[in-house]
Amino acid sequence: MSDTKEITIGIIITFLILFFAVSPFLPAPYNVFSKDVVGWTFMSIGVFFVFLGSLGLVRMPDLYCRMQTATKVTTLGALSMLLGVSVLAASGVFMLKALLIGIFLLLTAPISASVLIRAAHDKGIPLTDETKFDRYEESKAGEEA
Amino acid sequence: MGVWADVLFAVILTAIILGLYRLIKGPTNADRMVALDILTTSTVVLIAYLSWYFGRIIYLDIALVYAALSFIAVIVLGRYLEGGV
Repeated sequence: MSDTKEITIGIIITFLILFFAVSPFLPAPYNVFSKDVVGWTFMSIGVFFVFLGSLGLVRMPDLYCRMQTATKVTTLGALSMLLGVSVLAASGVFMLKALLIGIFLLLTAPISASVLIRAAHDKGIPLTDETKFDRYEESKAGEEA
Repeated sequence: MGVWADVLFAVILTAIILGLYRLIKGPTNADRMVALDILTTSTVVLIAYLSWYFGRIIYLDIALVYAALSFIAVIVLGRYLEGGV
């Protein structure tokens, strides 16, 4: 029951964000927000998350936590920055190219993160002392047994 | 809005400097590769910003090629770290 509620709230929030993003390009009664508001909001969110990701890179205790902040830079930071820049530029070619870069980043970031983390874990780079459990180690031990 | 654009540019540059700190200091090679991954993504963001700031769409092509090359670089370095290839 609570699952249904959470999914409904998620869908509503997604549609609100989508409406916020495309509202400058809609016809008269629906263009609630101007291009400047939408573009600067998305650009600020993107730059904020790029900064937070780099800050986490310096402050996190071990490699695996640092990799976790790297995914934030790609998904939230780069994607909303590209979206904001393309809304501000308001040209079709710009938007198409920014969309191409966004799709490419969205497809390749998980692959490179997974390759890096698996290589590092197999290599035996130590986890931080505060680690509670390590599911990958358990699954590897299960395969050998 | 001109001042705010400069502030955003300065924040991106600060993020890149923080990434460079981890790239130089990182205890292991894997840490340096994670820092490189973040740095390339930040650079794509920076190029997109500059492309809008100077009003030149052609800069986005550079960002696209840079993203593709950084993906290949990270994959190759990951295979190298794993001990394959």
